[in-house]
Amino acid sequence: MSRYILKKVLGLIPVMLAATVFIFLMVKASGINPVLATQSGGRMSEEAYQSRLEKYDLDKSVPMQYVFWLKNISAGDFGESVKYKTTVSSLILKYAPVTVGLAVLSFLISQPLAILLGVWSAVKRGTLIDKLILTVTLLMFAVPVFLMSILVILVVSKNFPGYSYTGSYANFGEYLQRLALPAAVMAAHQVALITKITRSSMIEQLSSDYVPALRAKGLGEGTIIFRHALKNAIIPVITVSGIQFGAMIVGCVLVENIFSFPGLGKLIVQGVTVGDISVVQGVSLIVIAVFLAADLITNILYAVIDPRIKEQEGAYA
Amino acid sequence: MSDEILKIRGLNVEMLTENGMVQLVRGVRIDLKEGEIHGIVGESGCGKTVTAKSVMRLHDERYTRYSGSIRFGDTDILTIKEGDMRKLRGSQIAYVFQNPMTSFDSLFTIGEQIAEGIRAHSKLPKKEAYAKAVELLESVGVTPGEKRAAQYPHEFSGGMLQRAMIAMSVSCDPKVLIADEATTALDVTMQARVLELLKKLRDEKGLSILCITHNFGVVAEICDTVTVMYAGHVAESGTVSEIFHSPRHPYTEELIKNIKYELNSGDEDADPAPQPKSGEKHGGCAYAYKCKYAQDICFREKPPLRYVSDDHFAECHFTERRGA
Repeated sequence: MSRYILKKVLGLIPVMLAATVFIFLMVKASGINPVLATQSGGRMSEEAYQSRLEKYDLDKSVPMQYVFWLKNISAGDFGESVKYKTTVSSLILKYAPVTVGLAVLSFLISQPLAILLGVWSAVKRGTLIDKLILTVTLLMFAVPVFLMSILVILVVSKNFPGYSYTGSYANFGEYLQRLALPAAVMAAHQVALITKITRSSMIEQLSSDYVPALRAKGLGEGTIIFRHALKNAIIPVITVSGIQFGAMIVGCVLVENIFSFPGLGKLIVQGVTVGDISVVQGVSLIVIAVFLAADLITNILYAVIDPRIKEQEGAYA
Repeated sequence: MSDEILKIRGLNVEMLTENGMVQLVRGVRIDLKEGEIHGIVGESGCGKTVTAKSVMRLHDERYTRYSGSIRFGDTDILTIKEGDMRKLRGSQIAYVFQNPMTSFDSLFTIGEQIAEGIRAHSKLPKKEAYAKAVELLESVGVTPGEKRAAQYPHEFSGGMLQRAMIAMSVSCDPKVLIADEATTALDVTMQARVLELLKKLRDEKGLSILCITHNFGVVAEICDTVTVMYAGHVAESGTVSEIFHSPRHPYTEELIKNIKYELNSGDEDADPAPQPKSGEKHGGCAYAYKCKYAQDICFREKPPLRYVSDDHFAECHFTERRGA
């Protein structure tokens, strides 16, 4: 098992490298000069300009710039924001808790709920309950996130005028209260996909040959559904679930804006607008790293669930 | 002979399909006596598996309608509650499925799966149930039991899986074992070993076995009595030697002729078995269209059930004319 995990981790290195090249080239291709972009137009002495270029390694050739950047980020140094005049690392640390909290909370709400709904509709397939579940989840998926956010804010402020949208993030209770509404909105949006995948995967499993065999052993329906069929059905669900988590980190940006949250989404959008390239590069890398980490966890879960997966991998090693 | 442990009378099974309600078996009558191996033979689609699954009530009951009776001891299986039925499954009546490769859950070890069945019917702690599973595997010749129990289904061969499945099915000392084409998916040498195993279980544990097969060779090998089914009907039933030596139903005759033919020439296209259409409405005998002895009456009237001897009957208008 540890060999399998090690192999998967090592496999991430080239992907991460490719990601750095891609991010670097994208930012370079934009032709933004961060020193100029963040200074109030040209009122800088030639010397000051040169020294600033040097400070950000911008006086070197493009390939060298990449090498220096790569060296710095592998040491955990994402550079300095020209706008905030502080390190990108400290900015990320400051903004990440909101985004990660939002993503984790909505993930924890949406995934178990969606899996339960999927199992339920698979077991009751063709009935009214099944159709109801599919219709309602699809409806929640069809309503755009920003619209649902606004609606939720309107409804909550009308009916619970005392509900506080603000509060410091230091207090965990207030932190949760601030996150609850946007997390619920995002969760509602995500339920449909996982419900559908769970449903179809469960229907397939429930019609497999081993199900009557389990029934013939005298097992109850609950054991058959949750212990056996769901375990077999869960692999495609986990795959999509992992991608969804990664996408959520990025997808938070809309919700963050509407609920005016200081999150990574806001940080990167601002960075792009003002041409703060170290911020853009840093946040992009973090987002990609989260994606890859989610994928890694997905892969490990595969092997934990299905004993055949490790062996198949071994065959090609 | 000893008492019947399983008595099927006038069993009808209807199932809801895309074409509406379809009657899959009609008026099936089968007796399984204690310690006996009873074969149900017929081509695919004749209703033998439907009948066997009805004994365990394994059909999806939202779409299935049963009528008639299946008596297991003093209980009528068709009328008891699902919860009571669940207690019978695996503990009193066990089922061995046709395809061992797909009948295990591939995410659990064989030992876990056998132990799970044991624990469904007893309060045995996990460890002891697992130890019993190892023992059972050894007893059916899957050795070394300890190592094999810890393996997953994909690490087993088909023959071993089928023996493991048989081990699992007898784990709670059932009274009746239903072997549904238990040897069909196996190669020839493995078939012989599995049949041996079934016979051994019958001899040692006094198990009564309902053996479903499309292969008359299997019937000749291990069965004491046999029921021949055609298009959802029982065509003929009796002891194996009587059926073999004096078949009274033309379909039985055809089947027996076919195995002899196959053995002699190995030519499989020579006489393709007629395909009955499930759900087809017959005014008369279901086999009339294929029967070479068919008379006018066969198309008009349902054939009566005629006893040739105490435990040999056939559903045919002309049982007397042929045979012996």
